[in-house]
Order: sequence, then C-alpha cells, then structure tokens
Amino acid sequence: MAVAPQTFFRFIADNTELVMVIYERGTVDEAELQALIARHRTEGQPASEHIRRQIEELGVVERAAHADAALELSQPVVELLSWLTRRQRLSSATILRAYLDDIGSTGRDLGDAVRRGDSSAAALALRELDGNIEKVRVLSEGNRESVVSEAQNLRSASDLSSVDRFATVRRLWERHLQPLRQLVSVHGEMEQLLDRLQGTLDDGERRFLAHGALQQGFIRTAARLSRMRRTAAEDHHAAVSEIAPLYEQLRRDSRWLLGASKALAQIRTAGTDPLTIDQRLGLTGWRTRHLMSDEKLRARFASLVGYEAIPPEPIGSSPPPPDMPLITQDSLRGALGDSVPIEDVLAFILARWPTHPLTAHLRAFGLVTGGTFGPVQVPHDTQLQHYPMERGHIEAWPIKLREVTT
Amino acid sequence: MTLLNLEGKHHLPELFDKLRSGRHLSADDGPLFLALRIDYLTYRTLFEALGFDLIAHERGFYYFRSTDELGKEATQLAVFFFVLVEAWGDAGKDLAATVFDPAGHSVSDLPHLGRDSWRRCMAEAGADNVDDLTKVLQRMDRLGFTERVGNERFRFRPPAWRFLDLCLEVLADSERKQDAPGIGEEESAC
Repeated sequence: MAVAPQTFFRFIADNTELVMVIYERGTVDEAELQALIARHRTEGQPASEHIRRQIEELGVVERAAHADAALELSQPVVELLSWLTRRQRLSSATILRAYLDDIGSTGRDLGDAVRRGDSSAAALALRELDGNIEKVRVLSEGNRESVVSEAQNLRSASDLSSVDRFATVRRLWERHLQPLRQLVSVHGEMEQLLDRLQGTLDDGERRFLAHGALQQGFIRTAARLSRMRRTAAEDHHAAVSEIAPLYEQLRRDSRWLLGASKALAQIRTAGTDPLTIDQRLGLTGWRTRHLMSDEKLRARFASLVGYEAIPPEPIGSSPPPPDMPLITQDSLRGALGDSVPIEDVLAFILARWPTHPLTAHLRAFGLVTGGTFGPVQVPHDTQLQHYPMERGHIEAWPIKLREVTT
Repeated sequence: MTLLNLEGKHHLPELFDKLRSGRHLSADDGPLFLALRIDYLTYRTLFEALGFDLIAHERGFYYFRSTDELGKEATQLAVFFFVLVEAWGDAGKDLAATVFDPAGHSVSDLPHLGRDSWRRCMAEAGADNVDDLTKVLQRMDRLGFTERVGNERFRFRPPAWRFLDLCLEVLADSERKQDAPGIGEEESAC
C-alpha cells in the first residue's frame, strides 16, 4: 500500500532517535522495540502503542527474513539513512556492471530510435538512460564514501591485528577498487561504452533539432553522462588515494607480523637452530676477550712493586744434546754453487753429506726441487734411479740443476 | 696493489674499534657515521683488505657482516624482537611507527614474559626472566640497535631495520617451502 510521503517523513522527523538506534543495531526483537519506543517517546507524542503500530504500517520496520520475532528497518529506509549519514554500503563491481550493461543496451535502443527518427522510442530510452546514469553516479559516490569510512575505521580499529586489517583492506582493494579501475580506466570497457553513447546522444541532438523538448532531453542526458563520467573517475581516484597508502602499510605490517609469528612458531616446535639466526644476522663479535683491562694491569704492577725474584735452582748435569746434523740452506747453496751444473741432485747430496741422516738428505733435496736455488730440470731420456742407502734404497727420477740463481 | 690515501682519516681507529665489536653505526653516531657516509668506498676497500665486510644498509647505517658464530647472542636479540613484532602486530599497531617511536618504550611494558608462548620462546633463546631481558637490551645498546632514553626507557635506532628484514626473510623461506613440491609430488610429476 502506498504511503503518503508527508506522513512518512513527519513520522521519521518525530522519531529520528528511535529510528537511528534501530539502524545502528540492525535487528531488534519485539520487547526491545517496545522498550526503545518507550525510552525515546517525548511528551506530546502519541501513545507508545500508536508509534509501534505506525512504525510498521509506514514501512519503516519489517519482519526480518531470518526470524519472525526479529524486526529490522526496511531496505529503502536503510539506504536513505546510509546515504544521509554517508555510510553507504559498498556495491560490488557486479552491481555496477549490471547498470552499465543496461546503459549499453538502452543506448543501442536509442541509436535505433535515432536512426528511424522515432521520437517516442527515443524519449523512452532517454528516460531509462537518465535513471541508470544517475544510479551509477550515486553508487560510485557511495563506494567512495564507504571506502573512505572503512579506511578511517581500519585506522582507528584497535582490536584488529595487522593481518586481519590487511585482509579487510585487501578485500576492499581486490573486490571493489580493482574491478572499478578496469571500468574507469582510459580505453577501458566503460570508456568505450560511454563514448559510443555520447556519439548516439550527439546524433540524436542533431536528428531531433525540430523537436524542442526531445532535443533538450538529449542535451540533458549528455550533461548527466558527462557528470557521471567525471565523478566516477574522481570517486575512484579518491578511493584509491585513501586506500593505497593503507594497503601498502598494512601489507608491509602483515608480512612483518607473519614472519615474526612463523619464526616464533618454529622456535616453539623445533627450537632456535633451524632458523640459523646467527648466519642471517652475521653480527661481528670480535672483542678482546680474556685480555686484562688497564686497571687490572695497573693493579698487577702495583702488587709487583718491591718484588724480588728468587733465583731458580741451578740445573744439574744434563745429558748431552742429541746429535741432529742438519744441512743448512746456506751450506747447501754453497755446495751446489761450487758444483753446478749437477746432473743428479740427489746423488750429489748423498755423496756430499754421506753421514747425515735420510731426513736431512730429503729436506735438502726438497729445497732444491722446490726451486729454492733456481730452476731444475728432469732430462728427457732419464731413467728411474736406485740410490742405495744403509738400510734399503730410494727410487727417484734424477733432477738436474744447471746453475744457482737465487 | 692499490695504495689507499688514509690522510685525514682521523676516525679510522675509533671506527674500526666500534665496527669490529659488532656496533652498527647510524646517523645518531654523528661524525663516525658521516666519515663512513662520505668515504664509504675507501673504508670498504681498506676493511676488506683486513678481512672485514663493511655493509652499507639501504636504510642508512653501516656494520661489519661476519660469518663467525656469535653463540646465543644473535638469537636472543632476534627472538626478543620477534616477540615485540607479534605483540604490537596483534594489537593492530602501525609497526614501523611503533618500533621507531622517538618517545621509545618502557622496559616495564615489555610483553615478553606476559604470555606463556612468548615466555617459552624466550626461554628457548636462553632469556626468560627480567634480568635476562635487561641483558638483552644492554647487548642491543652495545651493538647500536637501541639507545637508552632515561633510566627506564629505550628506543630503537635505524639498525633495528635488520630485524624487520629478518622477519621478511623467515616469511619468504616459509613461502618457498610451501611452494616447493614435496618429494613424493616431485616424483609423481615426473
């Protein structure tokens, strides 16, 4: 049943606080509603029973779909209040897309009407277009307001972790802003559709030059279209500007938090070792450990002042030092220098120091072959040689030294 | 061999002394930081010849990176920081702004011993009482990660970004492990 607007708005004006409380709560049961009516009823207003009856008759509240005992504000009232309080709910890109599809389809009808010169069909299509263009504009504004308000709520929410806040922002970003960006972007789908519609409106304005009212209709719709395109782009830009820094900050924060939480979880289950923190941080810890400080040294010296050393006990008769004959580098250099060129260095060493132990011979041979006294050669036509020793023999390839250069 | 011109490098002994003890030098360190900033490449070459790897972090601080193991010290510092990030993140705080809050943080407000799971992690790192926490903070001070602000407060210096980097490294490792197919999966893929 239709409701007289005057009656409806008078009721809302007289009971604004009551309606707003229900709006905030979402749903109320019968007892709560009665109590709210009683609390918000002022002197001079009709009886509570009258208000209770009117609020349902005027369509301000209706039974909730999920439970008969629950009441909620009817959807048109919710939308009106949301618009008034700038708390519009986010419309998904799907809803916007549906309106845009409608605009596209009506635009095609309008094009046909223009081509046929059918003024009635054109007027009808223009009226439909006006409605849908305005709906897109209002939805776009609503989305902007919702995004701004969601961003503000998120900034001030103290009971949500960074990860939860990021999940909310990511949903806003991915579900609402990214699809909208595709629609408003230059050369995007919306751009092309609306360009075509703009062309049709221009054609219509020229085609129906003689039809004053209809021609004015084309001009008005074209103006609406321009305004909607401008505001949609502005709204999208404003929403992105609002959300982008928050998205970046929360994305960064949530990654830090996830990293720290994963590290702590790993520590709880497997200890600290698997994280290889030492390796990752690479802290330098080169400190002069175990060295005495200046103070300690000073104290030590002070304690030594006046100290008289007790001479050590004389060492009694000690055994003679072991006989360890060495072939020194100098004596080797001298002997080699006197005898170069030497065809077989090992044979030369064994013959020159026959009484020295094998270790001394090998050390000297090693110095020569290591190039200590100059380059050595292994002759091409040489054979493996046997060098007889006191107990056995050594096998080696003869090494030749032409001159001592170093 | 390149001969470095060390003329006018008056801060060299002090720089070397601090860096080799593990200290991170940032703008708060005034002339020492400036010396590195102005002549980073010379110092880097010089220290490299001595076997030290001087790192310039993109957030504006310098430190020696070592391959030596420092025992439990580094682990304690990292776990201390992980707990702070989890506590502040769970509370929905802006992490960068909170960590580097110039007003600093009160020692008595540290959350490490307030939740059993955190206490267990700190115990795993070998620091599970107030005295140990104080020692961890002293180490943080010595290494240039924090600075005392009055008796009971401390603030994080820019080098603490290294711990936030560490959080990202751990997360990246974990994501890589999740993305990598298991042995069985690999086999079946073949």
